[in-house]
Order: sequence, then C-alpha cells, then structure tokens
Amino acid sequence: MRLNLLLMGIGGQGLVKLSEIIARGVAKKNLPVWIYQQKGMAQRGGSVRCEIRMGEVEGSAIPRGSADVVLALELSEVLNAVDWMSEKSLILINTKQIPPIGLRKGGDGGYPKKEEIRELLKQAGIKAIFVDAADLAEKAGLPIAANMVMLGALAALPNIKELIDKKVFRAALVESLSKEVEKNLKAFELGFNQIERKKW
Amino acid sequence: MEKRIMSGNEAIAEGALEAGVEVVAGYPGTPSTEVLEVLAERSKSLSDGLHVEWSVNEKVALEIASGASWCGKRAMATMKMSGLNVASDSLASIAYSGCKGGLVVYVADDPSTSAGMVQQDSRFYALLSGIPCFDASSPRKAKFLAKASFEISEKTGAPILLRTTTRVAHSLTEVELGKRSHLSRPSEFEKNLQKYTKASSEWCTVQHEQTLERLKRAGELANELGFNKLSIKGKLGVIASGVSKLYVKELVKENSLELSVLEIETSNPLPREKIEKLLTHSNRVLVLEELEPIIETQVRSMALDCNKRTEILGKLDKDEPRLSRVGEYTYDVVAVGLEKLLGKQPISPFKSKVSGRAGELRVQRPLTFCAGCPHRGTYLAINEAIKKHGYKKGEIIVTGDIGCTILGMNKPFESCWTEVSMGASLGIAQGFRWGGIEKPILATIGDSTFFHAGIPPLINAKQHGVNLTLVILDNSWTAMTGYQPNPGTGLTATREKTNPVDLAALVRGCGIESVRVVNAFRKKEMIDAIYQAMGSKGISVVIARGECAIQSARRKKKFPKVQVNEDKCTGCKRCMTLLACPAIAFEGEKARIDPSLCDGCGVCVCVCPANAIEEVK
Ligand SMILES: Cc1ncc(C[n+]2csc(CCOP(=O)(O)OP(=O)(O)O)c2C)c(N)n1
Ligand code: SF4
Ligand code: SF4
Repeated sequence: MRLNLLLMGIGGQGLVKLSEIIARGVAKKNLPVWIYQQKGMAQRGGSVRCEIRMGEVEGSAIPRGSADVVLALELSEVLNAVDWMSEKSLILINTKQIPPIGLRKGGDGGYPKKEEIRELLKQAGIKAIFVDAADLAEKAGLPIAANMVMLGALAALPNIKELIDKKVFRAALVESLSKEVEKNLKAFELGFNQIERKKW
Repeated sequence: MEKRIMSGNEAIAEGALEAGVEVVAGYPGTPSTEVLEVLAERSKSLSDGLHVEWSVNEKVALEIASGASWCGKRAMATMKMSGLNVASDSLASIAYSGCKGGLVVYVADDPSTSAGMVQQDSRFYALLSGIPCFDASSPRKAKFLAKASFEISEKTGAPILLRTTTRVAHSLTEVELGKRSHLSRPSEFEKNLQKYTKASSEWCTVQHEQTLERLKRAGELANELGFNKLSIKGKLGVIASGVSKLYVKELVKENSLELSVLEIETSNPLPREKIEKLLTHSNRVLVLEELEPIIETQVRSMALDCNKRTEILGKLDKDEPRLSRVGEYTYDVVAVGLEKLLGKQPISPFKSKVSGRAGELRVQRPLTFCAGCPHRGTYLAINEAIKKHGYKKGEIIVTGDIGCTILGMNKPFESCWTEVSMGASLGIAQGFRWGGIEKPILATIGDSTFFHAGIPPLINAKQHGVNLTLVILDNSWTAMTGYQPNPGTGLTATREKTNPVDLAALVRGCGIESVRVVNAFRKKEMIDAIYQAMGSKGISVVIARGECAIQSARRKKKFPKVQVNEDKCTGCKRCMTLLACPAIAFEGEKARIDPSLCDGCGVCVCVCPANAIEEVK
C-alpha cells in the first residue's frame, strides 16, 4: 500500500498545521509516514507546499504524476500542482480566492476563474471537487478554520476513509490544537458531511 | 523504544544531545536553522550546562565551538551553506589543528533554492580543508550520523562536516529516540604552539600531514561502524549519496530491478575499497549525487586504475541525457539515470497533460512585507526622498542586502538594485562610487546583517571619505529566518535577558558623525532624515527603527486600528500602488482594510491624499 497526498496553499492558511495533523493520524494507524514542508516565504504571502506520503515509501518526494490526492487551500494554488496529477488523482479545492497583492486593484485582473480551472482539469480527465470551505468555516463560527473543513473533506474521500477512520483524524486534531477545539471539530464535520453526501 | 515524527534538523539536534554535546553556536539560515532552535529550547529543561547561542556570524560560531572542543567538550557549529563561506577561513585553519572533544560543523545546502542564495556544493569545503564530510539522506540517518560524527571526530581528532540538503533537513518521518548523555568532562586546554598556531612553515607542514592522516583514519573508522553499505547483485551498479539513495531504493523495489548498490555516507574520504569492488563486479555504474560531480570524478579516476572497461554514467557523460549539476535530484531525475543505466525505458513514463495550459493561468506571488512591517514605511520614504531631490523613480541606485529588507526590490517600491551577500550592500555601493557613478548612492541593510558583516565596509567607507547614504532597517530581530534575537535585541537564543548593543553608538564609534535615528512609521521624519543624509558629504547613516510586526504582534503590542472612511475615499488607489499592504484591498471603487489583517501601523494614513484612512478611536 502506498498513498501520496499533496497539499498546496499560501502562507497563513494553516497548511503546515494541517500536514502535522494528517501525519499524526497516519502514525496512529501505525502506517509509515513521510512529510516534506516547503515553507518558502510563507509569512510574506508566498506559496506553500507539503508533500505527505504513507505506506511503503522511501522518502518524502512525490514522483511526478503520482499524487493520489491533491488538496488546495486556495483556488489558484491548485495550478502549481498539475505536474503531480494523473487521471487517477482526486483533487479537492477550496474555492477561496486570495489574489496576490499585484492583482488587487479592483476587478480580477488575471486571476483565473473557477470555471477555467474546472474545465482544465476535466479536459485532462482529472476528477476535481470544489468545497466552499470559507463559508463552512464561518458556519462553524471560526473563519480561520477553513483548513479543518478541508481536513474533514479529505477524511471523507473513499481512498482515505479506507485507510484511516474519521475518528482517528478527530483524535489527531484534538491532540494538535490548543484553542477553539470544539469549533475546529465542527468545521471538520461540516467538511466531512459535504463530501460524504456526494455520490461516487 | 520511543519514536517521534521529526524533521532532519530535529533529528540532528537529538543526535547531538545523545552524543553529549555541551556547546552549540550557530547563525540562522534556511534550511539549517531548526537544529539550534530545538537545542535552545531543550537546553532550558536540561540542568547539565548545555550552552546554546546564536552568534553574531558563522565564523564566530565556528570559533566558539572549536574553542570549546579544544577544552575537551563536545561542540557543534550550525549554519547554512552561505554561512560556511563566511566561516571557511577559520575552518581551514582549525582543520589543521584538529580537535579534542568531538567537533561537528553542521551545514545545510539548498540545491533547490528554497530560500534564495546560490546552489553551492559545500562538500568542496571538506576537500579543501582535508576534513571528513558525512552526508545524511533521511532524518533517521541524520540522527545516526550526528551521533557517530562526535564519536569519530573525538577518536581521530578530525572536525567533521555533517551535511544535509533542504529535502533532508525539512522532511519529517518517525525516528527512534535515545537518551541525552551527560559527559561532565573536566575543562582543560594544553598550551601547544605547534598544534594551535601556524607560526612556522615546519609546523604547518606537519599539521598538514596530520590532517590527512586524521582524514584517512576517520574514513576507516566510519567503514568499521558500518557506513557506506554495499550490496552486489548482477552486472549493473549504482553509487548513490544523499536523497538519491531513497529514490533508488523505492524504484528498485517498485520495478523489481537487479542492481548492485553502494550507499555513500562519507563523501570525504570516499570508501575506495568498496568502490573498487563495485567497479570490478560491474560493466556499468551510475553515480547519483546532487550538485557537483565530486564523487563521480573520483570514481572515474578509480575506474581507470582498476577496471578500464567499466562504463561510468552521471553528470560528465559524453552523450545525453547527462544528469544535471543544477537543482535538486528528484525521484524523476533518478528514474532517468536508472533508465540510462538499464538501457530501457520502463520507469518514468509520466508527462502531465495539463501542464501547458495551467502555466498560462498560474498566478505569480511576489513576496511582500507583512501588514504592519516597518520596512514598508522605510522604502516609501527612500522613494520619496529620492523624488524630493529631483530624481525620477529608478534613477538612483539603492544597493540592497540579505533579509526581509531585500523585499524593497519588489513592487510597488522597486527601490533595491542588487543583493549579493551579508553586508555587501555597503561594499558594492563604494565600488559604484569609484566606478564613476556621480548621483547619490544609497545602501540598505537590516540590523542583524549589519552586525554580521556591515562594520568592516562601513569603516572602509569612512576611511576613504565615500559619499554615500546607509539606511539601517533596525527591526530588533533577525526576521527573515524566523525571528531570532541578534546583538541588538537584548535576548539570547535561550531567551535570557542580556544588554543590547546600542546600534547608534556602534555606528558613531566607527567614526560616523552623521547619524540619524528615526521611527520608521513616521513618514515625514523618515523622508526628511533620508533627504538630508543624501544631501550631506561623506557617509551618513539613517537608522530606521521599528519592530518586526510579527514579533510585536506576538507580544500583543496593540496599535490603534485604522479603517477607510468610504465617504472620503476617492478610489485613487494610491494606498495600493504605493504600499501594497496585505490588509488593503479594493471592493469596487473603494478601498477596504481587513481588520483581521491590519496591524494598525498607520503608514497608510499618511499616504492617503484624501485623508480617508482614519484611526479607529
Ligand atoms: C552568510 C549568511 N548567513 C545567513 C544567511 C541567512 N539569512 C538570510 S536573511 C537573514 C536575516 C537578516 O536579518 P536582518 O538583517 O535583521 O533583516 P530582517 O530580515 O530582520 O529584515 C539571514 C540570517 C545568509 N543569507 N547568508
Ligand atoms: S517578518 Fe517582520 S521584518 Fe519581515 S516582512 Fe514581516 S514584519 Fe517585516
Ligand atoms: S492597513 Fe494601513 S495601518 Fe493597517 S497594517 Fe496596512 S499600512 Fe498599516
């Protein structure tokens, strides 16, 4: 067994934290786990990437075309992951848009549209699921918990569910966070239910 | 045994603790920083006198570790590859003297340029100074090697260069934990001029011979301890070092390949016997190492000695595809190498179908100052002062330096023209002057970088009466690398209080008469100070003071918040185009400040021509 999970986002979205919770969950199942945290200049608005691999793997680097799951915490960031995708990949995308400073002069000057991204992936035969994680986090009463909504969505994917039970992720979440645990759990559940309701 | 998920850097810290390290000195730099941070944190709960410090620069850090080792302590210096350049003068000399307590120099290379600076191969420093170099491939190996390095260093008297790359330093996996050993050795330094000075050619010659002897002995010891595993299978061979080893292992398993594999841990000295054994057993051997062909060149020469028919593949092949000297080795690079070795194409067929189109849609994210960063106001003022002197944007050279301060080269400021190495903004600026630039020249530098390497070029400018304005952006921290304290902060690595160095007094002490200390958030005063400095003769220094916003936020230092008065906002977008603060966005024709991002620094209040940005009372 081997599973490659690629996380994309930008600084301040809690990607590194998310990767730690996932790794904790994997370790709880006694599966070997590797993580690579490419933090870059996260604090100053840069892109962040985390590679997570579990099972029979040597090392943290995901080979091109071998991501089983790509999780993007920001809409446009999913575009930086295409080299790792194949027809077998499942793509989870938070619809949240954070245009870089240069594109913020009103209007969307050059920022890609959700439909363009959907079409791009569809044409390549890649399955993508969009999640309005910001709205769901708001509903959970904790706007910054979009990363936990996405964790919930991830936990509901069939290939992840097979390996790691939702309860394990919940436990890992509780162990990793010191504040607002209840609201984070609620965010997690909202994300989980969103995907769980989907027909595969 | 207890296990924990940890990074390569944490694993090195754990290995050093298990080996009984007592003195650790370093200077921050990605991807090496976390080793010292972990040790500083751990030292707080250890009562056995572990000394951990962020030194003023890497050369000083290495000298401190060496002095401690010469008293019999186990000691370590940590740095990024650029730092080893700075420390190298002392390294070459210390290598000749050798060490007493185990001495480990930890260096992290960055072949994928995750954090700026050059893609240098630090193994050359081991060759240059005649010391052993051990390369880690994973956190598990990193911990093993860190611990073993102290043993081997102490047994042979050779300081050891322990090396990782970003991929190893920043990968996490489960590692077994051991126990901290406490050695409590007596401190003793014997006076021995023949060993610890370089005062005669005879002594130096003997020291050189002894260095090479220690190197050889360290290689032997490493092999006795089971380094450099060789397994012989069939007529095709691979010699792999660093992360490449892991990729080979996975690809061999995945594709059920029959290969002989030699895993190199000691890139200096190479395990000659094992390499020769592999060469005699193989028709073709692939060498996998990131960056420069250091192992490969030596293997090629060994092949000529022992088995002329063995074909060697790597970066120096006559025909394509040659493995690259640029960038990090990925799984895919290793797959290409293996395909060439096997003479078939079974391994890496993947080509992304979306790549091309996705490239067009991709969004660039130029880095920018955080909301509330003091540097924002400083670059705004530099640009305004230049304008006030009657020059256009882009007409006046501003040399930049390392750190968050260099983000002044990005939009919307576009002030800085150069970035070379720590402290170089000042040296390069003087070169521009003698090179014939007659207009004003400015140099910008952060406080930590100034302490690290800014003082010699400042004194030099004073001596030669160079006309030049230096702006020191004093945010009290070494921010870019993760907010470490520096001599001006008033704290040590273990967060103990210490007397801060007075930056203004230091500059005055260098003989600079024109020194202005200004609050970086006060736009008018900043512009005036820089304007006047640019107009005066000789070298003038402006110290722009304002704490790093991330650090002041951690202490919950509250600034008054600001908001846009929609009735007054004319939609001119000057706040966007002049400042690019992450907290300011446009909603339709009106600016909006996101209260969850705004730090309340007030810089935008001074740029709004309609006075629409107001402090919330
Ligand atoms: C020789 C060397 N050592 C370390 C580094 C890593 N480094 C990059 S930026 C930086 C911090 C600079 O701090 P400071 O000058 O105070 O500027 P700030 O980031 O705080 O604005 C360091 C240590 C380097 N690039 N070169
Ligand atoms: S980390 Fe500090 S110094 Fe660096 S950009 Fe952010 S606020 Fe400015
Ligand atoms: S919005 Fe204005 S006051 Fe707030 S952090 Fe940005 S520049 Fe400073």
